[in-house]
Amino acid sequence: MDPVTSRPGRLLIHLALILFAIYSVVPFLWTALQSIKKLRDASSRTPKFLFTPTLENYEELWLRSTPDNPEALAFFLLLAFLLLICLLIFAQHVPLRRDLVYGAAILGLVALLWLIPQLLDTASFYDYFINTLIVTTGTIVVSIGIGCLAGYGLARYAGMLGVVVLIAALAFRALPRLAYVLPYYWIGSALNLIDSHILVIITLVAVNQPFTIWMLRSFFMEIPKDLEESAMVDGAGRLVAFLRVIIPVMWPGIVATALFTLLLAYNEFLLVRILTQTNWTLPVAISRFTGGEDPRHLTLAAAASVSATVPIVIVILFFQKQLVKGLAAGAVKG
Amino acid sequence: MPAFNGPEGLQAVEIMLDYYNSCLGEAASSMSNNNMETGMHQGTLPIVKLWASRAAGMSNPDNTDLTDVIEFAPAPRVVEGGPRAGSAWLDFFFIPANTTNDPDLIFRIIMEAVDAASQQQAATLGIPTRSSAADFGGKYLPAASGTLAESVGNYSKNPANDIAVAKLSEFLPLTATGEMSPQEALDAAADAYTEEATAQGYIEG
Amino acid sequence: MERRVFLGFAGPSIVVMTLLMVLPLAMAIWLGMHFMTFDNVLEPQWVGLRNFTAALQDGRFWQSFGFTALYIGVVVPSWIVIGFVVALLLDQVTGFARGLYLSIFLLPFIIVPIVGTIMFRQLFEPSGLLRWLYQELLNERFRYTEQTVKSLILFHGIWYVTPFTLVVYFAGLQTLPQDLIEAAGIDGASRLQKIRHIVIPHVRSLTLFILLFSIMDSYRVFDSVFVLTGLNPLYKANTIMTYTFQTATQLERLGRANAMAVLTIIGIMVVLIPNLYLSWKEQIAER
Repeated sequence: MDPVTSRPGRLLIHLALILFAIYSVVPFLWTALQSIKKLRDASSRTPKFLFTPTLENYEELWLRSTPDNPEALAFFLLLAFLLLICLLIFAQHVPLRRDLVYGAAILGLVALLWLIPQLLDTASFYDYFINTLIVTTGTIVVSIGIGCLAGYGLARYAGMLGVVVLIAALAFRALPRLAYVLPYYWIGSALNLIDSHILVIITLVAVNQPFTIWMLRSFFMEIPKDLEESAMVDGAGRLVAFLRVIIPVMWPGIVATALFTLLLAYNEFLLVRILTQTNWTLPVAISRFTGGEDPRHLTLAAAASVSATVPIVIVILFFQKQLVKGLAAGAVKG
Repeated sequence: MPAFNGPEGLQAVEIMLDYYNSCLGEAASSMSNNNMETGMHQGTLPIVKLWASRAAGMSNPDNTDLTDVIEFAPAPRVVEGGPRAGSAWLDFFFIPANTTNDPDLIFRIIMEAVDAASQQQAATLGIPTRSSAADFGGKYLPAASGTLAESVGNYSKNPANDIAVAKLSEFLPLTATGEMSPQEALDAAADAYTEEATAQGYIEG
Repeated sequence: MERRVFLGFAGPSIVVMTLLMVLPLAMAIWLGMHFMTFDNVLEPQWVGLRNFTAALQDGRFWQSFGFTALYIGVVVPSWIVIGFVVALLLDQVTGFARGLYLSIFLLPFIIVPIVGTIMFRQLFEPSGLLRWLYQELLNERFRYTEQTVKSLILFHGIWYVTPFTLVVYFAGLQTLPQDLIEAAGIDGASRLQKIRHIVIPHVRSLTLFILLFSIMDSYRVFDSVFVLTGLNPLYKANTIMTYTFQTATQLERLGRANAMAVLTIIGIMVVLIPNLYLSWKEQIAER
């Protein structure tokens, strides 16, 4: 549309957008505020905006006991974390082989996650966090792995079988999830896999597979066929051509799809709730903070909510473009 | 076969429903544990029943403004030498300071409801107090351990009891919403109980 | 590509989907014909079609169906209208501000739905900001009742998914044929006329997509209802998903829940079949 040029008009537009922004974030801001209050401030009848902030809720959420020198430890851990993240971001500029740098950074992050419970007396919330990381990473790796193969096949194969697979996938994606989650419980019980990561990962892969193959297929369609055909003329097999020629060009598409897979796995509640007993991921763990016997329900639930949201906010900040593109692409291409 | 859908069970449900309709209503019955605790902190509720873990927090000045005005006491015993925290202890009655009704009349109604005979009868039954009630320190501990030391202690219950409780809690709330009459709800619970207890082998099919 | 090669590439994915989607669906029908609780999962008793008839005679099942329909009826049009209007406004902004607004607007949709609902509910707890505002403005105490809890669920639904329609419409606006707009401007068309005669026809196919997608998605609404009602029967605010879940976990009637899950599939067919038909036609046309 042609832009509004009048000054009051533009002012009104910004005013409306700011109001909508406030409407979007009020729950986040309020919860963040509640999470740094003591219970007596948080349960005040009139909302308190002036209070002495405290990190006690986060401490109670993540730690079983307070370490002797919390500042030094926090400083060290944060520093190590930031260094590794910087390494990941600026990998292009490191004068070493790039995969080596990425490998080192990821290894460092894993080591750091392993180190934290050795140094600190972490509470069960940390275990749930680790469960979430394992489940999310596992789902992304398996789902994108088999999804790329299928997406490529579907993009290049012209026969009716491809249409049948695509339409069947679409149908299954639309079905109410409980129709397969309850049988999963039966399968899990029969195989004695209830409460295991592998069951959660494999079922998450399955329920997200229709979405994954549709999205990856749409990205593969954009890559011209000549690319792998020229490689195949040079004597490479199709699989080799796919791995050597297509995949390197596909990275943006793979990142975008992985991003949505990450969100779906990280956010999943129902499936994890039914298939686990104690090895919860964060959404299920947090739902336990909202009633029952926990006396610090208000502030602890707030701290838990904020803790689970921060990683997602970081993801949005880094990948906003891919997210928007992915959402729009999904819409345009069905 | 379950007996809870007999005439005595029906009468019990009708009394509960009567209480519910005349004293509680929708807003009060939808209160969560969280809401009740917060209501206590805010002074909007005159009386609540709290989990031990929540009640113990009332002695922590970080949690509440009520620290100075709150004291803890062991649960009372109804008859001399009887167990503490007998089931009559759960019948709490109170006169709100801001009531618009005649406080004397309310007092007489209470005295009518808690007549000696019914209280004595209830005193012989008891509610086992969870040992985790003593997990919390501070001012709360002496009261909690006092109750624990002299409560009824543990008893073994019929394992099929859990099924009855589950099935009753499935259908009894529907009498409050008006979707079922008390007898319908009890019969539905009895049918469900029979099905489940038969499947689990408590009733021979 | 030959069929053999295609099967080689798509094989793993097809196997996973067959084993974990087609098979479980068939199993749901089979398990629905059994009496099954958590105690006899592996040796359920055959009861034939009793679970299906019991579910169909269950007033609460139909009640949850009704509330789901109400949810779809209220929430989906709101997503479309609010999303479209805000997308039009956002289209007027450029540069850094556009990215910033977009990031903020996306937040409710990206965040863990369970957490989003908990945050939303914190506003209405006895110490919450909006409950306080409600009481100050209306001079009436806010209570959780059937009516308010249902309103909260609808309100949360609108808050939560509007960012999705917003982004889709926003992307659609970027492909608007500028020459048409300019020509209309030369002809003296007002802004509203341009929206009415150029923009809305342009995003019509997107609206159809959003409509089908939103109806299917809101038919499955679960997380927010689970948190906001705590499955309390007094609110009568179960959706088909929460009621099936409650039947399975709280009431431990796994067989009945499977039967209900199968029955709910029939409900979604109304929207799903036209959607599949459109996609099928589109796929055939592509080849």
